[in-house]
Amino acid sequence: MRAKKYVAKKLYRSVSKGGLTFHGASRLFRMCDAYFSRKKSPAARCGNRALLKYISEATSSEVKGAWTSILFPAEILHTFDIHPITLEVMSGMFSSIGLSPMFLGMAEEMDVPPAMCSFHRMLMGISKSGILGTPAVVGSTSLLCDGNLKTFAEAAKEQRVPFIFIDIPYEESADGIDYVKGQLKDAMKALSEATGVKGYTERLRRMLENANRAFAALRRFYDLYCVNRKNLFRAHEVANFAFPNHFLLGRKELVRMVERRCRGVRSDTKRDRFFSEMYTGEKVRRLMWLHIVPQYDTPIWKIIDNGGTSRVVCDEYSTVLYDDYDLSDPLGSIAARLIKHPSNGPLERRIEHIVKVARDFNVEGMIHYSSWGCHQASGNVSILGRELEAAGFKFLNINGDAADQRNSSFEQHRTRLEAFLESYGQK
Amino acid sequence: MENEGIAGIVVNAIKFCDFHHFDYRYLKEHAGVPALMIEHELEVNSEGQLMTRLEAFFEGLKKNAGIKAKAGSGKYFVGLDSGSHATKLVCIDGNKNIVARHIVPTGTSVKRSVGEVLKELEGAGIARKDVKRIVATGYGRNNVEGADEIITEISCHAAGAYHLLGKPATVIDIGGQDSKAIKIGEDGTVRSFAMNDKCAAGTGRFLEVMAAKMDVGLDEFAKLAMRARNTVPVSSMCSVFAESEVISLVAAGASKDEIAKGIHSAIAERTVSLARRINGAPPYYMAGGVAKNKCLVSELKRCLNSDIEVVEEPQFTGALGAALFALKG
Repeated sequence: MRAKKYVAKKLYRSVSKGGLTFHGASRLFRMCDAYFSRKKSPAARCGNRALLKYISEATSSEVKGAWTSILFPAEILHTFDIHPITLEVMSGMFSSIGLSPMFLGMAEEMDVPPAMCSFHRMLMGISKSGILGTPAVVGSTSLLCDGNLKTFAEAAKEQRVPFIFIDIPYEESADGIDYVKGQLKDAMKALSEATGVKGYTERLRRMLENANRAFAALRRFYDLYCVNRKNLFRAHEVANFAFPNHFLLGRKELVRMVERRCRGVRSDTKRDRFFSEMYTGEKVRRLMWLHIVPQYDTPIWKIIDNGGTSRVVCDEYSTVLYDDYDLSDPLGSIAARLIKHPSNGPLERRIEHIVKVARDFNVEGMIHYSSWGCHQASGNVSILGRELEAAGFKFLNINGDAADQRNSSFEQHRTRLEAFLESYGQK
Repeated sequence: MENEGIAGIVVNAIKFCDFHHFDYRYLKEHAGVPALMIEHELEVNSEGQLMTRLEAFFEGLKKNAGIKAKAGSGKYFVGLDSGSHATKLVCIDGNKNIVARHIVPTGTSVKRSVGEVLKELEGAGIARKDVKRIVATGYGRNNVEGADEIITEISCHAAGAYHLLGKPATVIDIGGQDSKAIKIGEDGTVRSFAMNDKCAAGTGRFLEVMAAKMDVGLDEFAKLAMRARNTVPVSSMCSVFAESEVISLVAAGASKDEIAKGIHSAIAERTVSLARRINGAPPYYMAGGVAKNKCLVSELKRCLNSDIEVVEEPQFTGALGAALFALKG
């Protein structure tokens, strides 16, 4: 981890001084990643490589890029050959290599409120830093985070590029779908004008076909991973699968990436060397992670995801599955998918999803992570905890900051997590 | 705003209501008048900090503002800086020469510490009747009996630093309760300032708590840090979190020197972000007693990538500024 952070800092300095482009630095980093990821399983290494390759491509000056929020419908961007970069993902990546204080410092200089979610504050710093160049467009939805509207709108203003905002209603009704469909139509028109690409219907259909293949692969992976005991991925890596599952939607890379994960579960024989055994013990405490995971290296995983005494076997966001798109109504299908996301609408929908996943994965306990400044997390957690306990699951909430380690106390987390595990009693 | 002749804007945001901060960003850039951002949690928790920000903002809008009283007839001018840690007094004559300076611990009573420091002034041969005006500053400024005028430490530090340096500068002051960055303009007045949030992060108090946790005094703590060859990163900035982090670092066998250096480094990084918020630029000047901490100054230099001027006895900068305001009348 030290070597990784050292290289990342050196590369960042070089980029900020103009010696390297971000594209060039990410290519170099990708080469070094073979060493940094040497302890990971082959399936995890493949995923890493594909992800870094995409980010490197998406930041090339020869490619049109877009900055988007996590659940922005990437299919419509890929239709125009625009490569979306999810800024929350970049915040997470920079956090994982120890650069979050730098970007958070920049956000502070810009008077971005310090009580705001660190992912969104960081993205303001990333935008200001100019490290990613200038996107062709900035887009966000109202899904998941209330910080999306202000921060992405500000980033678009700062970069002087068009801003596409898609407001997602709560209810899955015909009116709701029409409302989103109308916004998607406007977005397609704006993207067509920005890129000069006309007659995009056939391109969109191809993206949706790819998305359907990815949905099918994701369903296969879900079924395989429910009963998987191989220690191929660490819990926070699986939770972070949620990111490419969205920003690569419509591209063949996602299908290949998910199929490689499936192959790993079926036939790989090498574990992630963080775990001492190839297989998780049958009597470990099976846990589910709710909400986002810390993006930086933290010792909490040794306590709860060690494969010997306990294992986080699933999480809330990477397990979201979708129905196949109806190719006769592409924009209507995308609209329905966005509205139906479990994080949208009444809390019952989210609880229903969590309970289903927990039962499919045979989970006993859940850990919810309230990240600093995330109003949705801290606002819902008491109801969520009550309802999930009523459904028969043990529940623990911990407060921290998933992007800025300085706002988290490992010692406090350790006490809570160990006490939570002790409360199970002897098995 | 034009119709009402508005001189400045105060944006009052409720904690966690993030949208208003974005309004402030816009107003600061486009309103054409100075703007100040303050935060509330529907009740006043940090009145001292809030009042310092508001008063300093108003002082910037209206020069020579403050509470004025009848001036005495003496030939000396006194500045009294009642800080959370120490009470400082500077006495100057009509030619701005420093004729006396004294410092006592503030302890639990502003009244008593001010009495003590004035008594020391009398002991040095300057009686109350010889003093024409007294200006009080610092956290205890509103409780200084007999002050002719009350001015915030923001304005006083700027005035003191400008007098000592004779040029515009960015002043960094790490006080007991708060830390500040102040940008001084060509005319020696405050152009902009930024203060830390309400918690102890990045303040002198944070240093005290960490030194106590490692069972050493503040001077020894700085010396330990200076001796360190490497730095053990201390990531937590909350003093409660940092305490537990330091305990686990000690338990894990990290050397005290390196932990101390890590703590100094963390405070420096925090402080530098304040300077950046006001677009701070060299020359930098460090005021306040913490400026005597060589390790912290060195870490600040590293983070700012710039030299920092520190005068002899920097803890008197605010009191000197107050004395200069007393002379200005």
